[in-house]
Amino acid sequence: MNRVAAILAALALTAASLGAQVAPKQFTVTTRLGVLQAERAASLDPAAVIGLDAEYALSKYLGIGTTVDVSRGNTTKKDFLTRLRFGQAAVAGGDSIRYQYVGQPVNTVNLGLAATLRYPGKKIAPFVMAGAGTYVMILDAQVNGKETRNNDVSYTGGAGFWIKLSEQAGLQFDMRAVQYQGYDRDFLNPARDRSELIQPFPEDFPTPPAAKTTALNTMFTLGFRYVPGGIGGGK
Amino acid sequence: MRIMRLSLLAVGVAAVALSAACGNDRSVTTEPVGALGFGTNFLRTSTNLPRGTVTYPVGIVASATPATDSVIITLAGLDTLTTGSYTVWFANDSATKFAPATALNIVATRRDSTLNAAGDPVFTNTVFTTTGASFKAGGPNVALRVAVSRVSAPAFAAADSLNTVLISIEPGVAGAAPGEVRPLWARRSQASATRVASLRFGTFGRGIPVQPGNPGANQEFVVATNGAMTIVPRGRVEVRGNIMILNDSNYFRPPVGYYYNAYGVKLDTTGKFSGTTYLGRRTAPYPDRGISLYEADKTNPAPNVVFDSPRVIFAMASRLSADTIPDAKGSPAWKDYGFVRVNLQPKAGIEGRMGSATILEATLPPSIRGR
Repeated sequence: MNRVAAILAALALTAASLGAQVAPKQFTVTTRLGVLQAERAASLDPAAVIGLDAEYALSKYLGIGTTVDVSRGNTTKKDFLTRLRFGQAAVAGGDSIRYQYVGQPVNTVNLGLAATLRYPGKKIAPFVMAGAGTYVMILDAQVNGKETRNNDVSYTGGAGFWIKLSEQAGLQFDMRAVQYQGYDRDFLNPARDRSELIQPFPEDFPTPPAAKTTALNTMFTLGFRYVPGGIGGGK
Repeated sequence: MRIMRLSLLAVGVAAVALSAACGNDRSVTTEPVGALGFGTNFLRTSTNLPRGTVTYPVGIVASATPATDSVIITLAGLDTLTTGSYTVWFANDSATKFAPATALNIVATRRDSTLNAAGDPVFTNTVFTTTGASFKAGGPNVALRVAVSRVSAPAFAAADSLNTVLISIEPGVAGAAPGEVRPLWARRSQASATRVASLRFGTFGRGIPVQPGNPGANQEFVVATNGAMTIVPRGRVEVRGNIMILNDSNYFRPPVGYYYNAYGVKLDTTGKFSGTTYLGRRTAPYPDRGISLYEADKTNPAPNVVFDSPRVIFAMASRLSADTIPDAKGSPAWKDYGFVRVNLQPKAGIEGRMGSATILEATLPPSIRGR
């Protein structure tokens, strides 16, 4: 607690000397690149993500805007065990079964509206942001045998900082928590609802964590911030 | 310098992101996880459940010459008992009065089969005759004919109606009423015009708890009539590495005094039976494999899969490792096993010796048995 108070006090003391970094009534555009890490229960491997933020500064401290994040990754294969059965079980000779982990690529688009609250400095401006929107998960049509997608509400919250590079350009580092609502892990299983999922050796394969109806993702991105009107990341 | 460092950082982040996006860690259908599995379905076998008939005397009450009021019982599919004996009882139709019949004239016929030089089956019958108040002997190839007169049941008065014949398994000398293990019975009311009634196999009377809707004192839980079940169990055997899994379903709960178990049958190089391996009592399926269904005849050890009304076992399982079954060790494991059987066996019988009442049988494919 003492450390937090000290940081806040230092920021307050330096604010005046750093001066304003963001001007009101100004648009900024940020392209971002990073990594999206889902919680284990979501059965998603780390994925690359690219993003685009467009923001309008209502004041020196507050901005609103839109965010778009597009990620492409893979499902966690070992959570999706299925069987490939060769031969007829009921005829002489029985059958042979291959046990396989069936993963697949997942494309996710997350669209949202967000508000940003920042503390502008001369070179660096820390910020926090929050927003809500919708996400769309698009699966591989060939793996699933049909066009397969799912969408629901998403919530985003995060923090980061801007670094001024020039009058019109800057860098942005941020970490965001993106929660997908209405999450259905079975949706990611190409063999969902098929008898091949019933396998008689549950003790011999890893058991995935209990499924949840939400998926919390942690996103780290590095962005390039551009101010068409002239002031970006610093005055 | 600072811009250069930031640029390098940006390049690093981009590299990580691209690496994650372009990884080739996809599902590869040509690479199975671990050992292959081999399996086949259980099939319901031709019946060898306890069965038989009862031929009633002409008169319901004692006739003028009671010594001729014979009751003829034919039996097959009985298991040999060790801790009990089969005892015959006479009762009225409402089963409010029982009397043990003590003077049994028993003719046992054992039929052995061999193959002659031409490969044709040759049957040889061996007949044994004995008397007694009860008997223990049975076997898959043994047929019994038990003749008894109502006068051999002194507790049964001349005026008592002989409408029910019951065969119980008694742990000791029969008392005034049969014990709780009452697996076979026939009612005169269900007999043909020639007074021949098929034996029912199940639980007669109060051996099972009263359920709403069940009849009263004369309640009966029928598993099979003259060896024919009205339910069709099914299931599957699968072997993967050292592990054999039996998953099966849709059984009647065993009659009181009986339980389900499993056996493996080994074959020699010519395809003949070379021995059996006891695979143990059945359990509830995963994740309750630790729950034995041995007591499912009377109590309900696993309500998720054992139902009280109707009295069925929805699912059973066995998980067997060749590491703990010496006979199954081989290269590969379970080699030479040609059949797996699910049996119904009396608790008073010989556990570990395969009985006659096979419910399901799976013929293991050559991929398991090795030839």
